[in-house]
Amino acid sequence: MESLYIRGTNKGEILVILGDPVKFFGRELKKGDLLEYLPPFAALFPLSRKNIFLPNIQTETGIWVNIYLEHYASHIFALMIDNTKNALELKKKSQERNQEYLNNPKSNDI
Amino acid sequence: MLGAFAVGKTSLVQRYVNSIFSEKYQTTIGVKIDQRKVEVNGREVNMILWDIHGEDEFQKIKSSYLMGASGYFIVIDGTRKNTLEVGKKIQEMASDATQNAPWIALINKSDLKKEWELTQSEIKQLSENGWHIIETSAKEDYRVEEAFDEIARKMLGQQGKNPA
Ligand SMILES: Nc1nc2c(ncn2[C@@H]2O[C@H](COP(=O)(O)OP(=O)(O)OP(=O)(O)O)[C@@H](O)[C@H]2O)c(=O)[nH]1
Ligand SMILES: [Mg+2]
Repeated sequence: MESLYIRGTNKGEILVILGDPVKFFGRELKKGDLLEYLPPFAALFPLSRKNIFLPNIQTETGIWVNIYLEHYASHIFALMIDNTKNALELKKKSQERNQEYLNNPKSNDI
Repeated sequence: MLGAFAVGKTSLVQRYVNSIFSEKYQTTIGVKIDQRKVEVNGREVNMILWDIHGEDEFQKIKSSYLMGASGYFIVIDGTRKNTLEVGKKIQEMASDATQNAPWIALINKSDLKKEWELTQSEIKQLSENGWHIIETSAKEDYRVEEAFDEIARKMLGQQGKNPA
């Protein structure tokens, strides 16, 4: 499991430390990066929820990561990105089944 | 972007963000995040788009994807009537998870209107029940831009189209 930690200050600055780089919006995030915020997840930061789990977020390089956001206190977050996850098997199963449903609309009963 | 599988969520985002369309179906796993700048009443807004997987046998939509959203589309495939039922179910969940964020129903694949299972009177009924509906085609780029502009406007709470 590759980990990415975000720690903030009261001003809302976020410090990112992560393992293997992950790419979002043309920006490669790597260990030691300091970000004001992580664009795709910015909307989730103001929430008062303690923990947020976002499975299977597709990055720009096409790989999927699991993201865990932990809210410690106001403006203080720990973010972990697990980029060891392989979603290709799920993709294969899902693709096959959905295609099958489309080809046989009668069995389309979800 | 929310809805049943293969209704055209990814195609609508790709049309809007990259001006492209592909006939080839590649199902979405999890979430793909995109963005595009949009101008609303002279103000530039960066819209972050979450293209979420369709509900299918293997993937159920998780409310953790929805929390924090400022608004959403429920996408329905006019050629597959059951996608309306799936859409209705997801909408109820999204409404809870987002605390009644604004939303618009997109009935997609309007280029295949001759094959639509959804009838005009059913659509009218939905409108009468308060649904804001836009018929779109990702393929022919029909009302896609308008749909995203409209949701942006709703999200910013500026619902009036034109100043009088
Ligand atoms: N004719 C027509 N086909 C469309 C339109 N939009 C999407 N499609 C086709 O419908 C299929 C599914 O499109 P996607 O955009 O992948 O659907 P999706 O909702 O993202 O599917 P999931 O990711 O599996 O939930 C593809 O083969 C597209 O080419 C449209 O407006 N008209
Ligand atoms: Mg998709």
